[in-house]
Amino acid sequence: MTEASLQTSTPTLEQIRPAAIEQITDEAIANYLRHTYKMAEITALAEQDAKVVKTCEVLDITITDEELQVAGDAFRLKHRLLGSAQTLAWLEQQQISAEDWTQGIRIQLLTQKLKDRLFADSIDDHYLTNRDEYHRAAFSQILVSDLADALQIVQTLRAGKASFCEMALEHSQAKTSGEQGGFVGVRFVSTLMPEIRAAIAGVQAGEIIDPIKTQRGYHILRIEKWFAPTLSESVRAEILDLLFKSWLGAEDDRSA
Amino acid sequence: MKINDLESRPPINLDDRQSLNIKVPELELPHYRKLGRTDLKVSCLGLGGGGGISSADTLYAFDRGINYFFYSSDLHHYLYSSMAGALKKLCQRGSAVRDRVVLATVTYIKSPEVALAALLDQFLELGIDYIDVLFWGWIGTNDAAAFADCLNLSNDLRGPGTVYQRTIEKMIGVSDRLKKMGAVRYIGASFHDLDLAHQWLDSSLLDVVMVRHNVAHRSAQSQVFNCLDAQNFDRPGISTFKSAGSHSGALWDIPEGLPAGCWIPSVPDLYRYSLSQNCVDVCLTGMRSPAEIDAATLGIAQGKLTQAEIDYLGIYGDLHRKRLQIQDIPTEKLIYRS
Repeated sequence: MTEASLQTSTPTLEQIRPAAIEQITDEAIANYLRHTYKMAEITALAEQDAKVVKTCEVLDITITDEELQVAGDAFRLKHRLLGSAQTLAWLEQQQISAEDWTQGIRIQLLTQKLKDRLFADSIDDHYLTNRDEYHRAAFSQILVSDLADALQIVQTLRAGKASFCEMALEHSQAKTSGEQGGFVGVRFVSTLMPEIRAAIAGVQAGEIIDPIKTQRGYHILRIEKWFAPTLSESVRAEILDLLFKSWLGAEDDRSA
Repeated sequence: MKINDLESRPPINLDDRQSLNIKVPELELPHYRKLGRTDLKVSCLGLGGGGGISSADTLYAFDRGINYFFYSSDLHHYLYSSMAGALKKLCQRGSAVRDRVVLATVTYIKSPEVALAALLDQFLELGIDYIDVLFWGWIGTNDAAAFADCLNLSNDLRGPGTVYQRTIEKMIGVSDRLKKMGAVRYIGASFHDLDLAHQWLDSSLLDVVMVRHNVAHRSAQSQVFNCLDAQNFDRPGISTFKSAGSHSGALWDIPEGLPAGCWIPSVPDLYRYSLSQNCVDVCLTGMRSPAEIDAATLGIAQGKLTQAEIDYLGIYGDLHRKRLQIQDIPTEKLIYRS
């Protein structure tokens, strides 16, 4: 092999440039979704929108131009798109037309109206019947894989030889708690794993709970604060979503 | 959709919406006062139906300036029901005087599950739009856990826009007052265990604390009243009950051993004793007649008791409970009144 042919077959990094692509087609995008295993997720979301639009047609739920305008302006304010030129530039950057954007907002509004039509009157009854499901707890955790380590950590914490934060930063193998000094956040108790729900029932805030074994390992928990159930706006929205998703699922069952 | 230029709107600072509602503390014994941190203006004498007062006499009390009424729809309902007609007249839908009345009701069923049923009973019986203070009644030593569960309902129960307001609306129909006030405005508790009362004094879930207090049972002074700062306008409202009665008997009866000529407090004096304590807003009474109402109103007009009178009545109460022998009492502490 000559020196010249070597130079031809192994270009330097400076000589290599990304290939120029004129336009990514919709087909290429769909293929990307398939190759990255996101097709099912996106398809389900698209199906949900189609169901919403179709059901709204049946129920004669519509969006007025005024409602669209208010929602569009609110969207722009929220995203700091105050000027028209700025907004048009953003649309171009998103590779969507003003009509696409408007249609997206229309579907959001239709979804909200449909949710309200179907379930707004059921939220209070659902909450009063299932109030215990809406207890929340702010808690910290340290997750380790070995029971002996877990017991040692509990002993150290109860003896006051180290802070929870310190031990979590050093030992927790869970991403959130490991990075945030143990604090996991505020969660509805009903969304926690059954083993954890059982272990924290009746526990006082501040108490170090004995290691709890789950499929993820051994959890050392401390409840920072209990929150009594309250039907706040966020809980209302959550219940509305829950009832709506359950209805969409039931639609799937019927069509299966 | 039009894409015009938008004006930048500054975010709303929620703190700006809150006005400072600082009021000058009352120094004397005014007939009306603010009930702790609530927005309720209450008469210092409250009237409960436990004495079986009639509706006519309840209306007489209202005419005499008493505006705090306490009603039970479950325990002792047969006694309380005799004042129900008056409370209906004062508080039912369409009443022209509703905003001048403070209606406190109590349920002795300490369970969140039956709160709605208890409320509905009261709404239906009295035909009302809202309750000013809903009390959890008779909170005793063994009720700590159940009471905590009940108080956890507070944010769902009180104020406008709550789940309980909407549910009551569905049951009895919508009204402007119900929508504006909520089904329940504030939450109270009647404690028979002072340790529990003390424990919950600082809770945002509890707006009004009611405790037994009289000359013979003064523990509430150290465990409740004196734990509060009279200058703190965020403190809970305080009401007393049983100011004139004790399990050792009626406190206006002369205790054994009291020297002749010593001051025998009248029932209004006994009310004044409670109302002279730190942070006591309301003395709940069981008055039964216009004569008793007039006497109490006149008695209150005399103002707070002096420290010497308060000290004497403490001795008087201890004699009632047979905690003191007369020979143990320094003679200068006795007050003689013919």
